[in-house]
Amino acid sequence: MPTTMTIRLDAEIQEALRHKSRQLHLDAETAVVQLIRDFVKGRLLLADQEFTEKLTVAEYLALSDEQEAALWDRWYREADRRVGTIIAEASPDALPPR
Amino acid sequence: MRYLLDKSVVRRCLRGLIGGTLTDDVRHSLRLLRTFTPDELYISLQTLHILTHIIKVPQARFIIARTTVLYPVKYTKRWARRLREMGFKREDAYLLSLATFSTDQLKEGRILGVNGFVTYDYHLQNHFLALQPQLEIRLRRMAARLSPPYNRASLPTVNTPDQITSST
Repeated sequence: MPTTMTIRLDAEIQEALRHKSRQLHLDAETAVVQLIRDFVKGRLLLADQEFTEKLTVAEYLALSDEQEAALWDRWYREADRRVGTIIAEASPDALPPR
Repeated sequence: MRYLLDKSVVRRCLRGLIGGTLTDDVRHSLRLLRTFTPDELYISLQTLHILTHIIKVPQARFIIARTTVLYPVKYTKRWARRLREMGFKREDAYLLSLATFSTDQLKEGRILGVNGFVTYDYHLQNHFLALQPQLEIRLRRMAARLSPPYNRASLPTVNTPDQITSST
């Protein structure tokens, strides 16, 4: 049985919510209820949010394990080139693993 | 205990944090992230670069906040070369070497290496286990000629996240 919950929003946000909902052909309440449903399921992002320059979150999550691993391999090679040569110095009394 | 997380583990943490299916490997990776403190979990500079410059979701910053960067030291490349001679791939050799020869700060680092390298690369784990006795001998021979603290360098264990969390 649904119960009512009141959420206080600034007028500006309310207007933005109505505007965005109209764009998505949803009524504002449906949009908010959907967001809350996703939130409690642990889905904290919108599917069309940018994950990288070329991928949305939904596109990234749709990748197979092999595709995702290949992407990370490519990113690692790119990162390796960017990081370059950094050499740190451990103190003479630095702690080895116990 | 200190652990270096391979990118295969970091990407599973991220997948879980952004709402991906909670498969066993994702759950175990997230559990690792939540069980240990930032001074027990380490990432490489390359992984840091991916999380800061390539991935744009805020969950990447959560992983950075839960980990510490491990910096290479002057013997990291030398030991990585030895590991490559023993059949490890370039990236694997570098990360295994980083697990042995590394520290937590650019200057006056307070630690030398980590206890374990955590990965989902089973091929790497098997190769490491098969060669472990020879690796121990080679590392002991190399470290004996180095000045402190590098002469106390040791091999890491190579485990999957579930092997780590089930033993805590």
